[in-house]
Amino acid sequence: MKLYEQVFWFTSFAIFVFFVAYTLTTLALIAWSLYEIGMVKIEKGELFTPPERRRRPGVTVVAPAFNMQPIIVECARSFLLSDYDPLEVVIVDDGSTDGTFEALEEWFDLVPLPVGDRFAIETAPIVGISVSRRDPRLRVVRKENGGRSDALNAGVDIAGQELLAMVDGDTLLDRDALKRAVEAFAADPDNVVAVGGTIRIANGVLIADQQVTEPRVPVTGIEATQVIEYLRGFLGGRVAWSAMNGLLIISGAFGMFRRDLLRETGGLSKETLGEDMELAMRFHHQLPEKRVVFAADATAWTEIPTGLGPLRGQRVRWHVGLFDNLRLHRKMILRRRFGAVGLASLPYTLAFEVAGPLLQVAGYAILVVLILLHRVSWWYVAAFFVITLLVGQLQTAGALVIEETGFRRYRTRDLTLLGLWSLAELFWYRPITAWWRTWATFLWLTGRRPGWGTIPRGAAFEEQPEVASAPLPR
Amino acid sequence: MSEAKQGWFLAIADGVVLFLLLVNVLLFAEVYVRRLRQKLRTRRAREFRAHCEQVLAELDPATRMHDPAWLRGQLASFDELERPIAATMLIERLRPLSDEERAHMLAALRDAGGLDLVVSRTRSRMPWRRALALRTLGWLGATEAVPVLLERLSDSSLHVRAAAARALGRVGDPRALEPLGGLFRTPGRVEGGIVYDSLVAFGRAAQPVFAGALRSPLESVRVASCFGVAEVSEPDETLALLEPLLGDGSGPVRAAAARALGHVGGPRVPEGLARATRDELSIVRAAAVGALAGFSEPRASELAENALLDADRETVVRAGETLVRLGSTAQGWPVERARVLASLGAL
Repeated sequence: MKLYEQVFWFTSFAIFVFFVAYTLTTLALIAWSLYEIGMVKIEKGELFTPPERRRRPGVTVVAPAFNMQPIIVECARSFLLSDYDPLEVVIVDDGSTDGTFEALEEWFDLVPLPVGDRFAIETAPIVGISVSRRDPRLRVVRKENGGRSDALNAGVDIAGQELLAMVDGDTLLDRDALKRAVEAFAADPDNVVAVGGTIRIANGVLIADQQVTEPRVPVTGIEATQVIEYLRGFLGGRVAWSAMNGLLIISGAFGMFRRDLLRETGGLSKETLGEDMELAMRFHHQLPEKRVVFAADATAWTEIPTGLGPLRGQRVRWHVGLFDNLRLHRKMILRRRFGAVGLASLPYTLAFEVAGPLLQVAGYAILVVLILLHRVSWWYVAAFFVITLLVGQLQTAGALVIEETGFRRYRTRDLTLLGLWSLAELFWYRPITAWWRTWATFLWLTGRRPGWGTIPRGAAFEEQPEVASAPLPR
Repeated sequence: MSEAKQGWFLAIADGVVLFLLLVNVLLFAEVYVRRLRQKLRTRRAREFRAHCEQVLAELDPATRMHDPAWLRGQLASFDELERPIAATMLIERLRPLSDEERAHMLAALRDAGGLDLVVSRTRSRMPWRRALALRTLGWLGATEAVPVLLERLSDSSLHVRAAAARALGRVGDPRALEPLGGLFRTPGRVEGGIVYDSLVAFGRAAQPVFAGALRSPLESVRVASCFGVAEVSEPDETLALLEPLLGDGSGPVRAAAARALGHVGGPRVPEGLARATRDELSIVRAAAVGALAGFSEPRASELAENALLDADRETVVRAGETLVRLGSTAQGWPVERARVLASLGAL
């Protein structure tokens, strides 16, 4: 056999092994997640709501804001509308140039406070700290531009409560989201150091009084497919990783942390594009005996890209961030001391998140070559595609069963829509995301960094005609 | 590739495809079956609610029970779906009632044999059903169920143990004080916050438990006790018990004592609290400065203004907030003064 044929067959074999391993692993994760969610149901029942408590740890919600003038007041109000008490909200204006701070100042009647000169975490210079006369629970930090991590670190620095919830400026929290996340800390106060919530897609939902009143699945393929992807990722994956204390990421859109540990460990890293993942991994690395958990019932809603361009930018950034973090925390890989993180999560990430896209792209390339050489067996191709399609559907179906068992947030027609878009996913979404991730791998290996890019914001929060009360304005 | 090999491959592929197809169909069917079942359950629950409303109306304090035998029959006929709905509806009815009204409902339920039914559900196989039964007993204030509630403090389910502790707090029977006090002093079996809430529900009767726990070797217990003392004691007693804690060896305990004193508030700033605004630990200073907002004495503003010069930013921000809070309730708006100080470069 010639060398190129050996390479060809070896690659094909690797793809086959990868495919089988990936299928079995993801299905095992989904089954485990389903078991966990089912156990919670058995334990707490359908009607469970977080109990009222007389004394709860205080929570500071920290939200960075950069040029969010049109929506910043409503966002701040939505955080203050949470049913959690004691609550404090810190909005960090990261050097906005569009009047973000002025909008807050006008609405909330801000009063400047002395800045002080001691900083637990180094950030870009702080211009001012203000407190609201209209609602003294609101603090606003105004600083020079330094990026998302820097802005969050400034918020961490002045947060006054025991727990700190990091959210994106345009995240919508369910009114009881903070309560439910705090319950995860209360269940094991000595060991839980960070809690991540479920992120759901805000595109297409109905909103009233800064609350998602009716979750709906957007009709366009690019958005609906991301809804499926998020459901699989959060409900089908993170529940199981959390159960084995192997959760590698707490989404930047909504995560809760112990403030003291956050300060002691230096806040968010500015060295990586995946600062949210880096933080969770750092907790595992520095405090391997502690737990990073996922609270599936604590929900935040966020807007996702509606076009291929912004989606590409987001995915390339995430993937480069993943490489950054794997490099930073490579010493945990296959080390027993780090438990499930070292022995399961990181090997899984390396095999399926890092190598996976490369093998996928190689598979497509081989297929094209075989077609060009007229050496393709169409039976093989058909069998492979049908099996891949069914495996993908199986993952989607598993995630939908978990959603139905635990949460039941979507309408029946939305579930059907998700099932249908999931059928099409194999033919367009998976190949292009695999290609973007391969491109991100190339960028990282060659030392190039993608820009931050922007996702056009606000479209998801447009007023819906069916809803009487005011949604977040543009 | 030989025909033989291809046949072998395709046979396996056929099998895999069929298997995956079957599992897919089953899972998607499961989604829709669950959805359908939920719809039916919702409809049945809606119909049952109307019926249950009539049954529970018989227990109302304003209603004279017409026929205990009829009520007994109705309660006994509830099935697995209906019982939790009935329990939840009963709790909702009990929630706004006074103690006397609850006692009336409890007596009516007892006559109809409903209490025995609820007690029997505390041994259900499903933890959530046990927990719901315990919650119901708690809301009913059923003192005769205290032994059952105490027994459930050692249930295998954490959630059921928590429900039992909470219910004991609601019933408020003195027999529960010691076991709850024990759980409070040695946390672990039941979540500390829930035991704390249950003890606070006892009111003044729980004061010795909290006061005793102020001497606990466990820092977290001393911290919680500070707030517990403030919740259940008279202001003078609180001051007498907590001011010494402002000199505790642990910073979090000193901070908790300061915050608890702030919750109680009063006309005069305690001397210990004033000293705590100059504590060596910034978390204590910040807590003490924040607590000043609870005191109406002009000295509170002075101390907060002094804290604007603190080296710790958290303390400074807390001082500003305290001034804002004091300004909105007392002698005006002191932030202009802070601005002047800032403009002089004093901050």
